[in-house]
Amino acid sequence: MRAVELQNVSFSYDGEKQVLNHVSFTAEHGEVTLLNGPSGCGKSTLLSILSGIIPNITAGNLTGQVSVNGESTLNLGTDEICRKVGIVLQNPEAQIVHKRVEDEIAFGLENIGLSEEKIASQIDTVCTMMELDKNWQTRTLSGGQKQRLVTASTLAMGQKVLVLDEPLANLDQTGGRELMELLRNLVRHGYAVIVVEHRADMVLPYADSLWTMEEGKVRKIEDKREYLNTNTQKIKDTLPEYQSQENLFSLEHISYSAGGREILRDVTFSAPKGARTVILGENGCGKTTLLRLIARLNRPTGGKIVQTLDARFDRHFKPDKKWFQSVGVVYQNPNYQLFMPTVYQEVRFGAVSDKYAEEILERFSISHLRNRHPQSLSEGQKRRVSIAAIAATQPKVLLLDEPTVGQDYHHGLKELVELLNELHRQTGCTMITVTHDVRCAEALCDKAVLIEGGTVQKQGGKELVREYFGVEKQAR
Amino acid sequence: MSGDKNILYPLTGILSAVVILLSGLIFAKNIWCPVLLVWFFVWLMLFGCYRACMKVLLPMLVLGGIFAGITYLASGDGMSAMSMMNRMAAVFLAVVPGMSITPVQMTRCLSSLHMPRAVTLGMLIALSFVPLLTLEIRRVREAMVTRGAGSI
Repeated sequence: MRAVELQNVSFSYDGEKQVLNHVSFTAEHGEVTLLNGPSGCGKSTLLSILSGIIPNITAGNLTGQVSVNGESTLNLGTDEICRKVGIVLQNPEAQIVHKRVEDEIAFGLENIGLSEEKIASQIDTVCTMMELDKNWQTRTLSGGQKQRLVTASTLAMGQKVLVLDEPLANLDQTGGRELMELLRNLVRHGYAVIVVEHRADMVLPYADSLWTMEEGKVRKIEDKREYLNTNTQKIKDTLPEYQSQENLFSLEHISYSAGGREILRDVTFSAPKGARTVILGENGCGKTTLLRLIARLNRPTGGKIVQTLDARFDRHFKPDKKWFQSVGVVYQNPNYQLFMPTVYQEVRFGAVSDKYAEEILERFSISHLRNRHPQSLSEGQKRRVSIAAIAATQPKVLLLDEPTVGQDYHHGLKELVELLNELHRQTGCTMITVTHDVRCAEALCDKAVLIEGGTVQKQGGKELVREYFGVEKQAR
Repeated sequence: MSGDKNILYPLTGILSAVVILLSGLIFAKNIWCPVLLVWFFVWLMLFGCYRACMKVLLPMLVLGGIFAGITYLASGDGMSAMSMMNRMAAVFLAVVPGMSITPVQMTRCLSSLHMPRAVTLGMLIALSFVPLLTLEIRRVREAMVTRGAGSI
């Protein structure tokens, strides 16, 4: 009896575009199944069908057979399906309901009716597994911590079929490895785990079966090794060596605390003008916070940031429209930054000119999406659109928070890295990137800064990136 | 369960809210009512609802003052103005215990009293809605500012 079986499933959201075309997919108990494929090909849709979100919550035309543990789920309500299939969504913010970590994990357990002692012990187990503290405020968690929280909440419910949509997206190498090891452990105890991930390099060593998806069709890959080789090479940096100039941003003894937690203790470093700086560090170390402090979205609780961008910005701290025209900020979660009704208008909104907006649309390969509503795109496409929209304003400084998350290797990642470097070459903008993507960190780096323990542990160039990720690899 | 600033057990909170509201409304015409309300205010502050009390104080005085003023001008009677003030103060004070109880505690308390799931879940969602909405609004507005759309 198969854990999950899809037979001849076809699905369309609006009746016109077929997102899934006669798809047949299976997953077995005791196996980790990896589903790979480019952004927007329908992976999340497939998972929504598995978990019952389609057709119970999201409407559309669904045909074919869907069964979990041999039982058809087409006629079951979400409350019954959720006891069999646990799903961890791609956007952790969409899944978090409560203010405290403990309450969040308890929510699902209360709904299925466990006793109080059992709930308490499950919370403790899962928090230890995912390295979370019960008393944290969910509002102040980092992107990766939110993802761990959502995974923990689902694990606590103990369903035998687990579906994870891009679980490694916001996790660093250690965190990703630990999660995969955890999933392998579960699989040994008879669980069935289905993972949708772009990071084939991180998941394949732990996966038993590999399926790829393209244009609404799914097929099983037998030769995993060859697939691994074509999908994981490090991307090379094509830009010339950086000629050092004066510092654009100098951070002096920056400290920041929020929600009772001290996130940054004593950070001192400088970002040179016209250079591409990469901020490295493990999950939750304060990289996004640091970026936000540089962008003036938050005020540091100690220390100061000296900027040589324009003297006018020294008059008052509060950022205004002019500031954001010079400093482009790309969020970790693209959903918040997209607010226009079509992709074209999104890119056109702050663009320097109509012509440039068109150019950006072409370069970022999103021209074919121009009339779609940004919120209807896949997460990877949304990320691309948000970067394109910020790039269209031709900022002097570009602050990127995890730009490569959700981008598949061939179509997404390589193109995006080339684009960013091309943009840098043409406009000479200063780029500060937060990333833990080993495939492209080197290609986006002139200078690297490693944040650990709330302070700058090391500074350097490309060799620091190599060392940081090399050490992580060795630790395996 | 959680070590929050207030240690008010939800039922006590609901009960005290009801008591305050009813006594305020019943004794509104009594000359000693303001004293009673001040006593309730002090009692609430002592029992840990300090923050909530401070938050309602200003709206209570302002709105109470406006309504009392209107009543006085309309009726020319000092007594009715005072009783209007009493009623407004009673309503605001009755809200204070509710503000100090987190939705989670309220829901858990009511669940353990075996109230139907529809009621408790509905209340949890409704009570969490406003803070959730304000948080989302704040985030989206901030994101819009980073795109150059208006001021924070």
